Amino acid sequence: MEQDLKKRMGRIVGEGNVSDSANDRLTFATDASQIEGKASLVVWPTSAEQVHRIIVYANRHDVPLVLRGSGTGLSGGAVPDDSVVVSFVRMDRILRINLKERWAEVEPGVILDDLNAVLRRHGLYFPVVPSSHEVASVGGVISTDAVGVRGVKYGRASDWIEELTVIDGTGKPLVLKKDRIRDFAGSEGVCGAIIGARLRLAAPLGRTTATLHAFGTMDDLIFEYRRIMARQDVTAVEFWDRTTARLLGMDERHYLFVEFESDAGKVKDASEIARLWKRRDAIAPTLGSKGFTLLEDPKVPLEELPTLIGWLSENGIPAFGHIGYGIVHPRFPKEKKDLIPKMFRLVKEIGGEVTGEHGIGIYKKEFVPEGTVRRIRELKRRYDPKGIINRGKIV
Amino acid sequence: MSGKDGTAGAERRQPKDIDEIRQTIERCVMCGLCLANCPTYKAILSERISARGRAFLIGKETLDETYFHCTLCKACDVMCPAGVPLSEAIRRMRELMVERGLRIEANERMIGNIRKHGNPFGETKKGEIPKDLYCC
Repeated sequence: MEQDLKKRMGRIVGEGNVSDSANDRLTFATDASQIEGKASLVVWPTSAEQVHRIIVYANRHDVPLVLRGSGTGLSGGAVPDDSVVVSFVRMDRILRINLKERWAEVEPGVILDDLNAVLRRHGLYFPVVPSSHEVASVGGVISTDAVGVRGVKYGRASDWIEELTVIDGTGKPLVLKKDRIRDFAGSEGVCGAIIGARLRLAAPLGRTTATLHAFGTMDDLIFEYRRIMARQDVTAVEFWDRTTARLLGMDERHYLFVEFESDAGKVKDASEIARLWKRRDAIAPTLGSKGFTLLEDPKVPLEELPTLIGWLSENGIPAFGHIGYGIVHPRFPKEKKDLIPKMFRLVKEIGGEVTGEHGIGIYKKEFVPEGTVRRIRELKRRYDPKGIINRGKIV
Repeated sequence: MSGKDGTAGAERRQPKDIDEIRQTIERCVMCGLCLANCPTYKAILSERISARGRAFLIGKETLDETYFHCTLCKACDVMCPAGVPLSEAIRRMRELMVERGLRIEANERMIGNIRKHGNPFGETKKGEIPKDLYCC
């Protein structure tokens, strides 16, 4: 059966773009979540037409498919459950750039940094830049509706999509605009495959300044944050807690890093601002190298942030994040993995969500709010009634 | 096992001290940032032919020609947020395979190419990507 499937898929994508080799299947059976599934076959389509034919075939013959971008997801969204893995990394073309109207049409496998490198030549950029921008693909960024480090200014990925071209789970090609974009943006691929996106583009930021505040308590930090957010010129606002600061070799205090697109910040020298960003960007790698390797992304109401940070500190867990979106990134060492479900329970108790930007995948299924379950089931009924695509994800 | 991995059925044979090599990659969290710099991944766009794929296969004590695709350029080491010395682990996997006589198809092809063409890649024409992208 699988040999037959390989032959049929090979006819669609070409022999060099399909593999049933043991080690290809092994390496495509996992992603950055480190959850391991089982891949029956790996297929690399190179065109929208091929994706269409793959999904039509899968529908007719009830072949489950799992869609995959760069595999940097942290919730197992690309982990197959005895499914064919459809990898979009070879659909990586920038199709059109309209300088006058400021948009770009791209395939799903385009890497964010590659896109922005091209756009920079034209004085433009796609501003939703998560910290995995070096390797994250546009399709993955859209599927998780990612938030970047400048989320307070630029919002989420879905705020920057004019049009999505998709093949739904029944094999029907659709062009989605306005509200319907959110059916696919943020639903982690459960409705079908994104085969193209028209992205709105921004002008690069003007001259910026920055301030790094230090506080003795999280309450003081939040007070200052609320004061700052009354302004219109804030482009980024990030925090890290005292446990993180200690591990970074800084004074053991809570830090708030604010970037302004004006003269309001205390640090005005561009190289000094770049140094501050470097320090912010170094948090994850530094914690990783000290054994704090498991990254989470709960989202909590601002007033409950001290509760979560307090609990994490008591357990020796460092945390940082995008305070403007209420997204916290605690990093756990492998030996304290058991604390993660306990943290999820606390997050639910204080009215938060277990994921703010990394998605639910399979890893956080048991913590999904009822409203999300209903919405995803409704989307599945509409776009993928046979449950061909990303089976077992989210619900 | 498929010959496409170049493993010719040797995939699951485990040298005794592979544990030591596994320990060097213990801190790998599969984040994938190394993909951004890995020249073989950039060329082929396949997980198996990538720094992360190699780390995963070492963790599974699996032999594969992908260790010989690696250029040992250390770009993955530079990108790695957890400071995993992956290129060293890959180099040691190659050594181990040679020491233990665990020749795979890739070794045979490289040896044949060196004897015939004076390089591990085989016959190469200007402007063309060599068929065998092995690096010894």
